[in-house]
Amino acid sequence: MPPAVAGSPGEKLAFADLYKSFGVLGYEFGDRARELAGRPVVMRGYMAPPLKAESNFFVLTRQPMALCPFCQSDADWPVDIVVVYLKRTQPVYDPSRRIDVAGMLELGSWLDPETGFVSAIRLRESELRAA
Amino acid sequence: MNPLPLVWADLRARGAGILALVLLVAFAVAMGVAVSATERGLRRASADAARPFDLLVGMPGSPTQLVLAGVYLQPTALPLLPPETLPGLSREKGAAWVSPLGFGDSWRGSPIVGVAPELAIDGGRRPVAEGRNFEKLDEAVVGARVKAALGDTIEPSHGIGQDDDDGDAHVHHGTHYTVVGRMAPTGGPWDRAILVPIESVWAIHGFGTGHAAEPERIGAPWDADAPGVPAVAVNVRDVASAYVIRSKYRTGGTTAVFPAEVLAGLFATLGDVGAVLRVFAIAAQALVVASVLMVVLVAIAARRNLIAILRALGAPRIFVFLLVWSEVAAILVAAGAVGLALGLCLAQGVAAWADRSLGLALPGTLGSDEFLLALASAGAGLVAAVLPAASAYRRSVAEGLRSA
Repeated sequence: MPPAVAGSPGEKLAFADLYKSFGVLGYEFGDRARELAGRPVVMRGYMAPPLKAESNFFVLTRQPMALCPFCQSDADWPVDIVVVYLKRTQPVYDPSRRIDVAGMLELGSWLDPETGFVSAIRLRESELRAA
Repeated sequence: MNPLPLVWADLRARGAGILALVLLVAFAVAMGVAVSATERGLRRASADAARPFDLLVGMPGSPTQLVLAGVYLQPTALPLLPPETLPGLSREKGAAWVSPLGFGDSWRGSPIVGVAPELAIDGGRRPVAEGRNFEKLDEAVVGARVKAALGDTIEPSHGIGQDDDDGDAHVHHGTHYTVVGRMAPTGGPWDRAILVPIESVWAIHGFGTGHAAEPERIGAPWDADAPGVPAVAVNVRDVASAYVIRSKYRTGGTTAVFPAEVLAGLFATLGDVGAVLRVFAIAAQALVVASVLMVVLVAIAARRNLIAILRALGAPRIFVFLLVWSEVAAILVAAGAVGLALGLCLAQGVAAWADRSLGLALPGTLGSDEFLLALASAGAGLVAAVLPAASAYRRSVAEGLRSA
């Protein structure tokens, strides 16, 4: 059964729309992100290498996390990541494969009591499929 | 007419043979159940063991080796990181706490690991179960399953598997630790470890303590020229920092891995092996059920006159059908139940083995997957039982009586 990403009523949200500014002093969410907060959205990106095994969350990135040794530098790592909480645990995707994720957009700093990690932008109740 | 009394009488009359059939099918079911339960248990236990370790930093090399040494305490000779790595990591803003992992010594088979005090209590999220954390250079905290009591003295030696009375054992003479606390159980190999301050491990090997100004101090921050360590465990504050630190320490002569990314690869392989084993288990089950059905068909042929007499006495065809079907169904359903129990025993056997040799606490219990598996095989058996039942149903009375 294919996940209901394609047919699901979710507004497309791009990584470029997540933040308006991002500096040393803090960040400001983009207008489009604020407008869609609490609503179902679809984002397209790449699955970063898993942070916790057998867990129901992963990190969605704008660019694939470099597997190419020529591109690898710390400047490559973008700050605009989205933490995706899945409806159910799904197998890990190849980090160089583009995926679509549909979920409920949630903004604001939040501490996951289970992992102790803080995240700024999350997709809840998400489903994913290869783009 | 109710065929059940006759079914019951028939099953009891041929008790030993029926029992053998039940056990035969049950063993086949047990294989599938045990494979499924063990695979799930291994995943769960190894993921749980890795949970306190967000990120491991070590020298470039095999990420699997780094994770096996750091998380699962498999004895491996890891090269030392350059001195600036540990102090550098402990200054990272995104790192909640870092702990060096200094392996190499042991006591009565338990690895002694030099760490920062935070590791023994998982940064405060897992308080000690007994006593207190180590605060001085000659104090140690033991894992939940180390056979040492509070107040005991521990003398470290090189390598693993040496006894105190081994004449040739390389003992660090003159060094000893006093056990001051016991870690809460982790369910992983760290339950057998002995945690001591990394500064004392450095000092034993003649490297100083990494705190030139305060030689008695333990824990971060360490001097910029502190001695090297084989690996560093990093606990991060937030998700983004985890990736930032990972990228940063993958360049410049070190490597950084999430234990989870190594596990994901191992789990994928484990899953493939599990899938192959499951196919074999199902094939074995199908073969066994097929041979049981053959036995039943032969038995029906041998007793065709009995069936014919039943029919002649006025039993309808459906009665004969139900009679045969219920007998086969009873055998297969019983086999499913016994198979579940046997599978549980097998899974617990594997769990006991994993506990001894890997230090992993597998749950060794059955989940919904295993119940579904047993249900599915019993269900398939009920359907397959229609075959011999139909063959008994079709037989003509006259022919059956004639051959008597």
